[in-house]
Amino acid sequence: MASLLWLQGGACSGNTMSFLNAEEPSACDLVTDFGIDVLWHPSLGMDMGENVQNMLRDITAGKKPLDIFVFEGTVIMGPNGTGRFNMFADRPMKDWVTELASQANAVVALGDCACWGGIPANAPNPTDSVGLQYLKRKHGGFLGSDFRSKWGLPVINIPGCPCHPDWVTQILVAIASGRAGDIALDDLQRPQTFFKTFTQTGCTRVQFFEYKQSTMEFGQGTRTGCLFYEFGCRGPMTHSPCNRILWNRQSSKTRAGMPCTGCTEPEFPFYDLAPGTVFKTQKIGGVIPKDVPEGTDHVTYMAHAAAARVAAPSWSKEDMFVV
Amino acid sequence: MATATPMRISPLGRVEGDLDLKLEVTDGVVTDAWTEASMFRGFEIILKGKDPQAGLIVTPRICGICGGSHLYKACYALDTAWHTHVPRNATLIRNIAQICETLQSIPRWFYALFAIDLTNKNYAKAPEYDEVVRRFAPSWVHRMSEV
Repeated sequence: MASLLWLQGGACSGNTMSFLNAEEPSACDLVTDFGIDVLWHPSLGMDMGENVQNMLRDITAGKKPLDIFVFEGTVIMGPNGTGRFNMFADRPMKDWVTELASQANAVVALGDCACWGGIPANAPNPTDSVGLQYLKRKHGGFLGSDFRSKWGLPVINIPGCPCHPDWVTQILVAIASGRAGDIALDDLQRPQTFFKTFTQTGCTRVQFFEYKQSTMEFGQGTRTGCLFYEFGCRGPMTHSPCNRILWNRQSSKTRAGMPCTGCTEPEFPFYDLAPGTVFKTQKIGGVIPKDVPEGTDHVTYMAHAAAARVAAPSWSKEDMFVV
Repeated sequence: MATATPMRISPLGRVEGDLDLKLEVTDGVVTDAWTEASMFRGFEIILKGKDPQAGLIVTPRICGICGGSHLYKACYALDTAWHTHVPRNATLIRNIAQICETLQSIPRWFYALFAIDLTNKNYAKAPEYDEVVRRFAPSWVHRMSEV
């Protein structure tokens, strides 16, 4: 039986709401089948006030063992390093996080905010928000580069805005069943099983990408082309299984005609949302995409694109709409 | 004259633990109450000077429970500012999305967030208490009561 404590800092509760939709396994399965003992959760916990404070103090004093510490939301440092923009149980949340993380066997950052600061850390970062072990791509974050949980593990990052519920429940099961050390992490401390491949992997528009045929306008679902060329889709540069492990087991952003915004990467929201950067592919000289698929470069990309356009069959330029 | 006893509840559950309650209790009766929700992220500050369509990315993320409603209103604000002609199908899709969020919110709010508090032992004297516990108490509460 593994104990789990879940707290929320500079958060919107979106990862919790996503978590409640989990199917394989479900949130209930974690308790009934996998023996996870939920000590407290801000939305689901039964206790309030003093009872919660006493339980938290028992953990920080080492009297009550904590196996999994799940944190959702940013760690808020402001104003002026006091953390008072986010009070919790009569203290700045950041102080609780320091003490609880040091007692936990494993620490899990859920969602972009907890992983790397997410939306609240977007410029000008008014609350001085940071992620647990990163701020954007910079290692360190709130707990510092050297932080290791009691089992000797760095923070396990499950990013996404929100993260997919099954990524969460599957990782929690792995930890609860004593397999935390077997979760292979990538260089941003994300489980490789979910974040090795790309958002584009499994995208239904990938044939259009292959032949460099662009979607012409928004609102046409999957009728034409690929969203990479004009609409700022980050599918080829983003690590996530969004088109392998579907949302609501049904669909994904790109399948529904919405460009991937790259929300599992530390830079999200990209370009600090500066005017002209949203839903619009950034280009060099009006032609060459500024961001090219991972692992390629601008010259190779352009050579490949030129050949692909020549090879493009006529169907790839047609409207695929059928009644 | 009875004096008011101050009482403080922090955290008060349900939405992220970001709510505190200060009470004054006189002769066992709550005579005054203040709520305090102190978590601040500064979304309005973040959105200043950004691309207008940033509202479609940032605004829904104010709240993970009702993000769809915030998104709808951000769309609506842009439509108003830009005098967009919104096609009938777009309105239908937006309404369907809004209905889906509502359908999801009702069971989530009632069963996961609200009804379980009715099973609190403080309500044990209420005539419907046993039935409320049978219907709404999470399984681990039943287990705990056996300990």
